Amino acid sequence: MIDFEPNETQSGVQAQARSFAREVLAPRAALLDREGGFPRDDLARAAAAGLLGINIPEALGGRGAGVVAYSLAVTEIAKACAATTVAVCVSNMVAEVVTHFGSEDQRTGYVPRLCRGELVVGAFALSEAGAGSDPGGMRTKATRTDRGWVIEGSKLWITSGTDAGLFVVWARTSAAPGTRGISTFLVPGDTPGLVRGKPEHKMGLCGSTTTAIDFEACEVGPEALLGEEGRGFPVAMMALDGGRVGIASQALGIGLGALETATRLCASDRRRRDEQWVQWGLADSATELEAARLLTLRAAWRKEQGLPFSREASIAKVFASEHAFAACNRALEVLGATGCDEAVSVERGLRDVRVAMIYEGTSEVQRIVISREIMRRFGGA
Amino acid sequence: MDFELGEEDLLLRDTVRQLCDQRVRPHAGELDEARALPQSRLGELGEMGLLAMERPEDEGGAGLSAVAASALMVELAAADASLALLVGVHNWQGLAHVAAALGEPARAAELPALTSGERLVAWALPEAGYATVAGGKAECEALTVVARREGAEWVLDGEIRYVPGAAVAERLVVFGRAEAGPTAWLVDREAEGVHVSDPVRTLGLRAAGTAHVQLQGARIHDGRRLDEPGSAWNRGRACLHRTHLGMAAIACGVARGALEVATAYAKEREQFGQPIAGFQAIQWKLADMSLALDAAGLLVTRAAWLHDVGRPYGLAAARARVLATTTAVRSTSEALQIHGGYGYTREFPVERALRDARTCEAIHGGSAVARQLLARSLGDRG
Repeated sequence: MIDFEPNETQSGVQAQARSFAREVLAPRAALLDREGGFPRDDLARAAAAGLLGINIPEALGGRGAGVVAYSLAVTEIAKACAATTVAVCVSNMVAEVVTHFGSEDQRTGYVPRLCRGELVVGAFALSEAGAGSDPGGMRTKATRTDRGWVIEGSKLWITSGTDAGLFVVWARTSAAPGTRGISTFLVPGDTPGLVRGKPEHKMGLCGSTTTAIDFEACEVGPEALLGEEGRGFPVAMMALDGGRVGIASQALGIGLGALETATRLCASDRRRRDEQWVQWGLADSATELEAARLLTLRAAWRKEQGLPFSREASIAKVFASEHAFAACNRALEVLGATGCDEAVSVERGLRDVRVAMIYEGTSEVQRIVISREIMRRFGGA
Repeated sequence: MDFELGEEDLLLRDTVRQLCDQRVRPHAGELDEARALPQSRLGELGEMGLLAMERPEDEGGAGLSAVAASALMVELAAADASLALLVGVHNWQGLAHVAAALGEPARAAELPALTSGERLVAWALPEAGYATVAGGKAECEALTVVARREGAEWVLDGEIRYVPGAAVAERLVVFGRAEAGPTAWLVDREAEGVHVSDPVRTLGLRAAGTAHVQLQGARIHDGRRLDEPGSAWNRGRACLHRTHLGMAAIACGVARGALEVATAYAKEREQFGQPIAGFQAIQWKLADMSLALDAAGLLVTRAAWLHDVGRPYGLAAARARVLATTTAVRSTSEALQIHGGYGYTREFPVERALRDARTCEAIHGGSAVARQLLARSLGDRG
């Protein structure tokens, strides 16, 4: 039966995330953006608050609160600090991927430690310099040896690459072309041969590190293989589908944060408050973000119900990221020069949210996913 | 009808383009990063006459038409929008205002250094004042500086926030509220009672020295008053129209820069076994960017031409400003999108272009001022 109210667990997680965001993240978000670095202490606090394993079974150390609760929590923390949010999102997804595809040893060995923050956070190592939207262009190789595997290659755009304690790594294990012949490995951050690059200098999310990771004759044991050999691409797709729900939720939070700030500042300034173009701009942002919220929660709910959710996740991600960007743009428009001042957080929102249209699959890739799906459904052929 | 620049203007544009390629563009990223003021570049631009583009040659200016000046601003902004904004603020706000409205002997004393570009002059008008200037009523409500007359002097108190160029300009045109109404003065930033803040940390145009100007009992001699007391909006309006035109040219430059780098990148970057320029989604983005830029560029040139032939051009300039800044925001965002993750890093110039475009749209009262001007004129001719 249709019900738009969060249940008690979901509201509880949301409320907890909100107070964590307000008390811990918000007061230092501007400083973190300005000085950069990695919010290690705050991530430990997030772990202690149960925010690194929201959709992980309690038996594995998680909250067992489900995907809707996860989405609600991510939106709350993104309102305060989008940079910390991205590390939280990726770590949650790493825990989910290990829970879903891992052997018993892998699950019990890694998931509780991820949830407790003992591994700092988890990270995905999928993209490469020549393999962004097209993971089939991947070159990193894992060669079987008598002791396990040797991984060679270079990964790019690794969120939390400076500090993550566990990496989910995709590499070619056979000469099969395209996305066949790719396998997934779990590589602890302290494995010799795993070389962390320097953080990229980015437009936004300056309190989240993004690095290259080089694998230089990086040896791992046979137990490092996650799932079946040669079946790595479906793992990546599952991680990305789930990741898109997280990014949609994050973008939504950034957009809502900008809308709230802009509305507050306009409401206390008669010159702005009385302008119809300001009123209408804020109304449009509110409308679009409400739609984004529903699309995002619908995708989260479908995933939670075990229903196919790939199309819904893509729709939510493309809509939420583009309209959250538009909401940040409108916030800047209605605030004028004041909005461009770092001391007011909306310019940070604009810089932070812009990458939501790029990472976890660009808007272009989402449109490919969506159009393929509707062609299959309605194309008749 | 003729859509080509004249031969001399073309030559000058090519010279400026070359200077931009060699000396401006290579440093734009560093200056943005350091939020540093491009002082050394300003000297060079001054020598070329770019800091007095439309001032007559017999006063030491370059004697250019607005059409030619707009073409140069596009070049400059395509390389470094912060620098272009500084040049624009000086030319179309400060210098234009002072040259037209400062009485002798102060004019003779001040003008040469401003014309040569040895000194810059910024326009200290509160953000809300831009709408008032455009509105045409002699109201003072937007003014945050209060002036009272004491003998041969005026005493100024108040603060004007977010003044582009204030951190680098040695002179400021300060707008204040006098008994007679809105009035402006030429103020020396070193004068007692004048405080300019450190540059504000802004989203974009970071090297343009935007700062807050504070006046605490600053005493300004009546000889440095610009026009009659109470009449500052009349001159202000003329400068505002020229500013709209200038901001439109800057926005076109930013959009052109974005289109150029995005096109080059799309041809080079390969995914799915081919350059991404081979994909329709990318081709259409580039096509739309070039289409919008072309239209905005023509609006700019038409407004500049109206200015040069002495016809009313305020509405044409407002149209140009709205379309060009909208185009710049869209095109820079698309350019970033075409670059994917690389575009989000500071290694590539497109994220700066987006920040600059967004800031261009927001400052000087925002394009809302230009839109309102247009909206009010509906039913009028022009």
